Amino acid sequence: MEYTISGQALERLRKTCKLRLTISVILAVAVYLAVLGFTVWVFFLGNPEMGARLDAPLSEKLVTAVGGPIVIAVLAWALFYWLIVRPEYDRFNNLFKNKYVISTIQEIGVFQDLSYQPRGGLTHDEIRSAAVVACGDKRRFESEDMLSGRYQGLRFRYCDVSTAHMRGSGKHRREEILFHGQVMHFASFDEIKKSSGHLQIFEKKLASTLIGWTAEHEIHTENEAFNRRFRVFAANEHNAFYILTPKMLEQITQFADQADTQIAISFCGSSMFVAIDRLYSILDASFHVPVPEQKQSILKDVELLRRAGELLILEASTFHKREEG
Amino acid sequence: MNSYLIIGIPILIILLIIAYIVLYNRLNRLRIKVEEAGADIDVALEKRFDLLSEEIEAVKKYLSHEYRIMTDLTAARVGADLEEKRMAQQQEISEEVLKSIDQEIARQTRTMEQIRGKLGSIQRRIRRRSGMREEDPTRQETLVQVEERRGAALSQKVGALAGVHRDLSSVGAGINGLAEQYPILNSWVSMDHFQRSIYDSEEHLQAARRLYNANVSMYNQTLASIPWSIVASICRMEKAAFYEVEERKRDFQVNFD
Repeated sequence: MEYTISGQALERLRKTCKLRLTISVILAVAVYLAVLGFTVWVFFLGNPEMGARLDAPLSEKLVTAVGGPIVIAVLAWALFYWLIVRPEYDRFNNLFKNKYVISTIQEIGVFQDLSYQPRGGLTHDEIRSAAVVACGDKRRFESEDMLSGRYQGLRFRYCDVSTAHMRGSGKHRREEILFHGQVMHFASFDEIKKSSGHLQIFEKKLASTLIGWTAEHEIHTENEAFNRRFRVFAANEHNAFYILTPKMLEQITQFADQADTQIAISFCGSSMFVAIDRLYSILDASFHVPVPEQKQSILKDVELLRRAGELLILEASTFHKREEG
Repeated sequence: MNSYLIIGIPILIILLIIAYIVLYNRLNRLRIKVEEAGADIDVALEKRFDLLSEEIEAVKKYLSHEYRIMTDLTAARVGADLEEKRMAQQQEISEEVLKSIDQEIARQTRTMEQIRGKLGSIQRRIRRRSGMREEDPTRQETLVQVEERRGAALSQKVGALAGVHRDLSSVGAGINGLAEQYPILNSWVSMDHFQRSIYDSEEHLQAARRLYNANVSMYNQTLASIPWSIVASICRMEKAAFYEVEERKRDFQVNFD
């Protein structure tokens, strides 16, 4: 029943989610008003014999009477959202993905053997050995929404990845997000070439936590514009120049322009990993936009995958033969 | 005041010596990287040379095999005059192409041997001069001469290798021309394998050349900037030569008409 839901039923579910969100907001406002009434009574109108603090300083009265209810209302809204909205949204999101992800992507006809696993993803070990982003602590590693298949004969996997680690010590110990975005894995980046050891390319960005372990040699290519924008690390310097042909340097720059966010690329063996650092998750549904319109956002999410295959593999390799169909 | 000078001057001298050592080491590291990258070109070039020689042998074997089969078949047919004539022409063309490729390979083999010989004698001279320096009172001068010799050897080697690179490209072009003329060759799995190998060896050679030039660029830039230029002038370190390949490759005419 769950996988064969109709478009209308899904739209009704979306509206229910939206209604529940409205209810949660109304409840939070009600909590705010109730707490505000209470604080006003305590600090301005109440009877001291019943616990009212009329003699408190004016600044304390104002801060507590205005700030206190806001904090409590926000906390209450978070609780209502978690209890009322979240379960329904999760259900809507899963049904939406199951119904539309594969069918919508298949409609464009450029991907083959598509498979989608909402709970599947790359493992912590895979990300660590790829060294495409900082892998962080294993316990704080998350990966989901795995889309796999073939593009022009190239086998790929594409999923959300989030990595984090604990920073500081004692009371100042807190979780720091290292990377949140999408990682693409192409099983082969060239018909002939293979990378001997790691080759990593990181787009430079201020205060970025994306870079984790790096290979021994930092490489300076002959392309100064590329050097200004990217940092390149390689286990073997010759291998770096072997993979990063002048054409490949141009294609990476072009891909970074199109991604319009920080990217990282790693080559190891015949595999190529591409990481895109962005806050939102791929393929997720929104209950603010009508369901038929959301199919476009799925296409937008996979467009970057198509561009990565096109620019970094098919166009970058002069020898690569396209596999039709 | 005097006590300041007594303490200050030795400290200044020590700092200058440390700075000299640090700067010299950095320059030396860069120079070694340039030499390593030069050796990398040598390896890539030799690999490609071996592959081409191997390929031409395989192509020759295949062509003679094909000619034998086709001649046998034609002989078995009635009115085979035309076919025989065509096959004779094809064999003539094949022989012509193979002869020119053979000559090219032989010429390259001689050039490679000459380069090896030249490099060997230069390296022997360098080793001899390096060995003399313990007894030599003008040790600094000898060191400088060794550096100069080493730089000259590298430049000579890079120049010679660039020439070989340019000429070998024509052999690859000839082989690809043959593959186009004989469609069956293309379907032959080994031919495809060889073409891939040649492409790969070309890519390795390009990578070695670019790595060498990137290292030379870094070395030359460092050499030209202060304070490294001061140390470089004391040690008489000179700029390294870039590896330049003539863009217009020597024509390799294969006419099948």
